[in-house]
Amino acid sequence: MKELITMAFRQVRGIREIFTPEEATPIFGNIMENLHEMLASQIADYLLIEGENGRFCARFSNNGWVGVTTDSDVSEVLIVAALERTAKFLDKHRQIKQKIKHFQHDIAELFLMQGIAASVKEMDLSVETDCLTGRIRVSARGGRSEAVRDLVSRFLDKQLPYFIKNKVTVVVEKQTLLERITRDQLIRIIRRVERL
Amino acid sequence: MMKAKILVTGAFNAGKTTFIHSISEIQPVYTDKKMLDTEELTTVAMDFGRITIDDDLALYLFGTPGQERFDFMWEILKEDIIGFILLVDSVTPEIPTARKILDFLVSHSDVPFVIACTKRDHIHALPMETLSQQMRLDDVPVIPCVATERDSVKEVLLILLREILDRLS
Repeated sequence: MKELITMAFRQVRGIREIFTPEEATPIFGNIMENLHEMLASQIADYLLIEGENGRFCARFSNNGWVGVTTDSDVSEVLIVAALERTAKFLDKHRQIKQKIKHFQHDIAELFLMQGIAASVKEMDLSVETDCLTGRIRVSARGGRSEAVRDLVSRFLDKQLPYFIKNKVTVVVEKQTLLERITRDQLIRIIRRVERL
Repeated sequence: MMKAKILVTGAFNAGKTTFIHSISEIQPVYTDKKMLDTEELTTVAMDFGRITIDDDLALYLFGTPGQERFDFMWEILKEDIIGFILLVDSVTPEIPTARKILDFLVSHSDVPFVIACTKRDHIHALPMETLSQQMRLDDVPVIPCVATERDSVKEVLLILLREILDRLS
C-alpha cells in the first residue's frame, strides 16, 4: 500500500511520513476514525492541520484514510492533489481485488461470446501493489493455444488500471473430448444405444 | 462432426474384439493376425467400431491390443477418450495385467470407466464378488457381461455412458 501512495506522491517534495490504517498505532487509528465521523457529518473528506513544524493532511475515502505529514513550505494544493490521486489508486486497487473474484466467470463468458471452445480450469491470482500475479490454467482445442493466450492476456490488460501491470501466467492445455462434449450430445448417444 | 470415443481394453483374450463386434453398426475394422504358436487370432493394432447417432454425432469404439508387447498402442488410443471399459475375463482374469492397464489409463486420462467381467456364460466363470474383490475398486461399477450378446454389451456401454453423464452434470 505504501508503494502505491508513494507513487501518487512521487512529485511532491517535502513529505515526512505517510500514515495508513495498517501502519498507524491503534490510538492514532481511533483518532482518525473519530475524525472521519466528524468530517462525514460536515460532508468533508479531507483535513489539514498546520503547525509550526509542518503540516498534517489526511484524506478519507470509502471507510479508509491516508494521512501525510510534510514540511511547512509544501503547497497545500499539491498535497491535496496527491491525496486525491492516492484515494483513486487505492479505490482502483480495491476494485481490482473484488473484480478478480469474477474473472473466471468473465473469461468463460468472453470465450462464449467469441465462439471459442475453451474453458478456465483453474485460476489463482493475487494483486500486489503494482502488479497482478498468479496463474490461469485454460483448456482449449488443439492449435488455438496462442489465440486463447492472447485473448486472456488482452482481457486482463483491459481490466487493470495503468499502475497495475499484468504479470499473470496463462497456461493453455489441450482440451479433452470429455470437456467438449455437451450433456445434450451425450443424452442423444444414450438414447441411440438404448434403441440398438 | 463430434466423434465421441470410447476405449475398450483388457488383457489378452478378454473379449475386446467380440465386444466391439457385437455392438458396432459397421463391420468392425480388425487388425488381427494369427499367432505363430497357436494359430489363434490376436489384435495387433486396434479394433474399431462405430455407432452413428445423427449427421453430426457418432460414437466410436476403439479396442486395444491384448498382448503386452503391443502396449505402446495404449498411449495412442487413450487420446481424447470420453471413457473406457476394462474387460476382465471371468474364467482367467489375468488381474495383474488388468491392473497394469487400469493404472496406466487412470494415471493418463481422468475419464469415467467401468469394469465388465466377460464370459459370464462360461461354466468355469468365477463369481462376480471374487472378481470385484480381486480388482480392489470400491467406487467403480463392475458389471457381468457376455461379449457375444448385444444386449449384454449394450448394458455395459449404457452404464458407462451414464457415468460420463454424471460427470458432466
